[in-house]
Amino acid sequence: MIIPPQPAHAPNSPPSRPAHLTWSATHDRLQALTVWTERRPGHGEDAEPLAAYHRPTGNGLLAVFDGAGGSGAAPAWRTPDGATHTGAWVGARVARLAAECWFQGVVDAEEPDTPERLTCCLRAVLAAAPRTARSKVTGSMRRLLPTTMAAVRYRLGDHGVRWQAVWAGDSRSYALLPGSGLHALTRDHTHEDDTLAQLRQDPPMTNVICADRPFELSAHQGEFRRPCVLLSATDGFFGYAHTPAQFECLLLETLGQARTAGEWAGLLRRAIQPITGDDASLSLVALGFDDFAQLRGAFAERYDSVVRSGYRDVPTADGPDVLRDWQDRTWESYRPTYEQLMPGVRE
Amino acid sequence: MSAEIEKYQGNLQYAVDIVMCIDATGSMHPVLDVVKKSSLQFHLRLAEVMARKSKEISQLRLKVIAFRDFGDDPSDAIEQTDFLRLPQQVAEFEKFVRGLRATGGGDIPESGLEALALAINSPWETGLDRRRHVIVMFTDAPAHPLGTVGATAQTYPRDIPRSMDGLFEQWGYARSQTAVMEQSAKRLVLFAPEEEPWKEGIGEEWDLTLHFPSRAGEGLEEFEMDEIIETIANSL
Repeated sequence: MIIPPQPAHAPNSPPSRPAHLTWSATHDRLQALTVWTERRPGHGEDAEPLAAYHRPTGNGLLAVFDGAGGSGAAPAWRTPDGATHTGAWVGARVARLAAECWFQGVVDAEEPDTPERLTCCLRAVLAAAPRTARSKVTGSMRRLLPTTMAAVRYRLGDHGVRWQAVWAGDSRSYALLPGSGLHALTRDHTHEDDTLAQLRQDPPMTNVICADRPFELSAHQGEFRRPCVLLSATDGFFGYAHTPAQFECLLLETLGQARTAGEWAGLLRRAIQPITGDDASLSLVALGFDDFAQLRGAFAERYDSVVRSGYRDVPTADGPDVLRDWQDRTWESYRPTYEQLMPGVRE
Repeated sequence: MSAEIEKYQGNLQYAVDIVMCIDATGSMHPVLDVVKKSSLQFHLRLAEVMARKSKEISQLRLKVIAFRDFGDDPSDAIEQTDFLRLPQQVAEFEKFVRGLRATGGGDIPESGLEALALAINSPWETGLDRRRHVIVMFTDAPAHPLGTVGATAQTYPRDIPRSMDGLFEQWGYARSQTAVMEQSAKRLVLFAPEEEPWKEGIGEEWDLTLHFPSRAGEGLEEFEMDEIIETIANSL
């Protein structure tokens, strides 16, 4: 099943409020969901999240794409009805198309499932992308069709799940495990390596997918022999919290309130939309759980542990030092587990 | 917003410092009024776009450095303000900008790099968590190499680099040890002609830089200004 979610509104009738889209599906011991929201109706620079699964081979792909609105603010494409979209908007959607084509080639034509092959697909599709609007603004900050990507390619076998995270920029992929909680599988392409410092500073990216300059995809792989949840998300989901632990709190709190994957998607959407300052998208798959009740039950103890650790207890006392001390303290205790599966720092 | 949801919302407040470098030589006469208008509105437009992204400016400071040519008249080659806190000191900021007169400078080049060096070495905000440090250069001319023309004058800035390489080291780059500006916060916007050092020496070589090739921004369309502001306001 390849899932291209439908647009949340018809092209010629822009909605009067921020658009959003949730989707879910269940197949055997696989439960998948996606969430997509946009801040400016019709101009969300996150592409619709990708969640694809090929039943005959057990191969799957999760991916999100966040058009870089800073370096890609230039107009890039004018639609036939006159609306103009930025390079960031176009770049995210073109990269999504390239990733989908790559996955199709892997499962249908047994093409290589390597990051190098995906890079070739991205370059080819970006090179062919439409550019009907030009900008006079130049400079080192400017990029043509820039976007992040965080993808997890996985294969469900008899003995577990083999996964490979592939990414560029500051969108992230994670594993959510019943015993130990949230683990980052990617490391942002920024000069700042500390995840809490990234939240505080909002640093610029050092590598994004784009049509006019070299870029690279990082990759990191592993295997889980027990049921797990894999997810990819753009920074609209995790970049507006006080601490990295709060993203896990958000995931587990909404999971605990849901009865189906569809409900979980809806709860995630309703939780993130009021607090994020950006477009937000997430693609998630739960693998190896008999049903949603088992999935929810598997994380009940972890949620209790998170609550007991005080990760949700934002200090109410006034003053930035109080908040800062709490952030430092909770990050120190949360960090070792969070970074357990994270790739090393790039040289 | 419910308390349950609000507890997850982190810091969306930014401390924004902006330094405007304005060429005030005689050749700027036809465009100086437009530059003044852009200077006076720049922070308002930035605040508006950041607000659309739910990014609130918790502290805003502006500084203006007007420059001419140390080779022509060192006595009026640099006029500058301290950082002025807005909205409290908006009258002082507007009075300085409105009072600028396009005069002197002799032939091109001008002392734009000295102004840029002073801007880079400004006393930027280092507290608070999220910061934006923006330098905006308006000029219609190329610039003298640093440390050459008028460098012996009493009024020539003492603590700035004497070469382009030295200035580049102060601007910095990812993991730079010599940068005086903060990598996460800094942005440079050039409204300058397609001449050196603006075009390639800085516009393409220095990171986190935008260049609108023009005489000090002449011919800038509204949508192009929007694009520049969006670039600064957004995460990169």
